[in-house]
Amino acid sequence: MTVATTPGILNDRIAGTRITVWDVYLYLEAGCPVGEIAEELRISTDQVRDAVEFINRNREYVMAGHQKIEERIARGNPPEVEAQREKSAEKMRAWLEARRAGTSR
Amino acid sequence: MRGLLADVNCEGHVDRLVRLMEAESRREVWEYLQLQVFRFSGFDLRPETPDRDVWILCQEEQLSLVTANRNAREDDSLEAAIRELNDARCLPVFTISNPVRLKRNAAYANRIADKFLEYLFDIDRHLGVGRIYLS
Repeated sequence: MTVATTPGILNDRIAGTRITVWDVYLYLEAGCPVGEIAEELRISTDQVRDAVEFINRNREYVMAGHQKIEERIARGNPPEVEAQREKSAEKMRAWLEARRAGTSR
Repeated sequence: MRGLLADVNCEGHVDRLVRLMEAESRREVWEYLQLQVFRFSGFDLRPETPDRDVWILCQEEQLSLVTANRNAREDDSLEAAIRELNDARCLPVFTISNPVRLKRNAAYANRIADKFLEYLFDIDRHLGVGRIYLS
């Protein structure tokens, strides 16, 4: 897919930052105004506008990447990671109960 | 584990989560953990520092990175750094799946804080996992 270059955007990131066009897209999709996006991501409104221009010029490319990211997130953590978290939650509850009973470790 | 490093574009989200972990229902555990929360400025990291360098610093400093970074590029991502460098002793990276929802939905934010605290309380159990999504 050919990607149209846009000033201020380098390798899908806002130049000089770690923020990708997909970071910005998430806020745009949620209807956040430019000022709010800038505040949340701690960048300037001009940098947000650069990202918006890139997104508008490369909508198909950005959407494909966004979908890929969303699919990965939707898969969530592997079951074994969630199972280990459950064990951690049990351990934490036991620790709290013991502590509150005056028998903390 | 010494603490957390808030990704440079994620500081507001990390502040939100820390406030929730300091709330009364979670405070006892959070204070017991005695974790420090660092920002990029605390390590003289530049805002454009590559993912790989941030990940290495976190392991050296015994910090877990908390990020919300979204990147579809395979060759230039945190995922690539984890794939290449992670081993069974490494601290995981925590990724906030939906920072917008974290900000707007209090019930979701509380659920994320509960899960985050469970992982942190027992972090040794989660070494080597690579990346953990908070969602």
